[in-house]
Amino acid sequence: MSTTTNGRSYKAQKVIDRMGQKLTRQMVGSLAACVHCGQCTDSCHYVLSNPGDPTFAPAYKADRIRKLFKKHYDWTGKVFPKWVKAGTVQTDEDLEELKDIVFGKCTNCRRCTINCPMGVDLATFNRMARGLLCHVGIMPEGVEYVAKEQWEIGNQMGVLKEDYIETIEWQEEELQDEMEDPNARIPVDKVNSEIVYVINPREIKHDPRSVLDAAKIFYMAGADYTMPSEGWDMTNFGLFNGDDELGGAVAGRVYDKVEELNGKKLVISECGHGYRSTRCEGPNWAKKDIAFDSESSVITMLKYIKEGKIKVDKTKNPGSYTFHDSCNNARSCGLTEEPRELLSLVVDDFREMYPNRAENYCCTGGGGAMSMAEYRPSRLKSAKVKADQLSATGTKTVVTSCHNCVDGLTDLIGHYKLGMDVTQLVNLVANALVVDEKIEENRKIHSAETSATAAQ
Amino acid sequence: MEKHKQENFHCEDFLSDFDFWTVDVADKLARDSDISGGLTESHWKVIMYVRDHFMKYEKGPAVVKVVKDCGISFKELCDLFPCGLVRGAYKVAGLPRPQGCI
Repeated sequence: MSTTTNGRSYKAQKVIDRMGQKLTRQMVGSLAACVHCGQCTDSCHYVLSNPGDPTFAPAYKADRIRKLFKKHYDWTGKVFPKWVKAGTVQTDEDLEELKDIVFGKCTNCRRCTINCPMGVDLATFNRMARGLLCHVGIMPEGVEYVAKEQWEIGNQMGVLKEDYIETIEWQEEELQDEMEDPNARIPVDKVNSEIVYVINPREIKHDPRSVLDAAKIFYMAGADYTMPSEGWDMTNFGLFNGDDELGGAVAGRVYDKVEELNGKKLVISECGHGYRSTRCEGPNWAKKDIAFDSESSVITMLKYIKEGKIKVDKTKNPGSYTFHDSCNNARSCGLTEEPRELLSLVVDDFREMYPNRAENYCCTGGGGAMSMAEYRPSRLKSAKVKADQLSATGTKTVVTSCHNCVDGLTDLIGHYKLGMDVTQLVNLVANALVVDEKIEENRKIHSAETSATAAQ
Repeated sequence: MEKHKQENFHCEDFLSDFDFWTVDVADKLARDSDISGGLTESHWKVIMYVRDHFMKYEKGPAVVKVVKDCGISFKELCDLFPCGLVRGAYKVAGLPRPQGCI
């Protein structure tokens, strides 16, 4: 390991230097304000699932970052360093140790933040610390890989454009078959549309049912919408790896395409971090004023029902359901009531889990944890409290408005053998659609067209 | 069995070494992936397609490729591999755990 003249590794020195550039007023407030009251301790799912291990306590984890601030940037650390526990990083091993804390022991879920009487926002400076480490190449392999895919290919799963287009065409054929309408379309790059609909690459790469379900809803609502051929990935690993440059580049691609297509509104499919990144954080990262509206597809679907554009029949979704709030949707963006209102319109038996809304526990796969395979055993052990919470609802299906939560919950449900299913609102709304009349109408039109063609 | 020793399996029970894969290993992976009743001809068609794709591109195929090139519907794919494309078909085909959020 090469070192600087003061004996510190180059990487460690860079982390310290760069921290100085990242200390916003909000960050300093959080780094300075902790009084170690311990109220955050019981709010963290890692602590609740590992009660004997104090290294999971948010204040402990925060202090691993805070000590650097105290030592290098705060006057208290210069006057009485021992009292304020000022400390530093000296070697690359120190940085690896820090990596295991900021990536492996925190999902940036912000539950401790809302339970802190001093308003300390651990998730914000934990993200900052992740960014400092990524900048010197220290990060979990999965995070590095996904960030690279987003930089180079433009989406986090490395989906090629031809696969994206072919998948849309495939789902369009499925839509035509289901609706018995050969003219049903999933438009791509249609200019001047009311809605530009962006999705998670997982929907293309692994499971396109949600693309078809959304298409059915748009079709039944008679929506003027399009899917973009570029800038269609609304997920953003910049939120997870703390790299504002990546965050800005990914969100910027989405915004640029909406502008190019002259879309009126950006509708973001159900993904917590994607929603937060694209709607809330992205404009700052991309340093861009956004001239168009944006909303979650949850809001769009709810409006369609309320405005009578689509009709739903909740008896088509039998069984019992609970709702899991995504951290990014609920705690960071306040999207808590609309999903419940929508769910209540499409299922009969909806039971709250407790705690819920902004107090809900993380799916335990947040903050990019699902890409960090090395921490999976610890993640699943720390999911015990979530498993108990799900189990206590006595329901068969957990509904969530987040693709990442779908994967996190599915993993822990399998691990703890809960026997529950996981689904999203788009699936339930599509399944509840009243379509028989429309299909009958399409059948008549199609048969009249066929007869007219035959007569010619 | 010697060839099923734990060190040959990477995290999340994906195979760590693509070349270690055998028909016998596939059977074990299938049992771990909720496939009851053994691997059928339809399973093998998907498995071999996924392996060929990985050998060519070092990545698992997108679902559209599997469905179109194997001539099956998405529902049939889900029925064959209840754990889905990645935790089902990729895993049984001996692919290493894909990077990223799965």
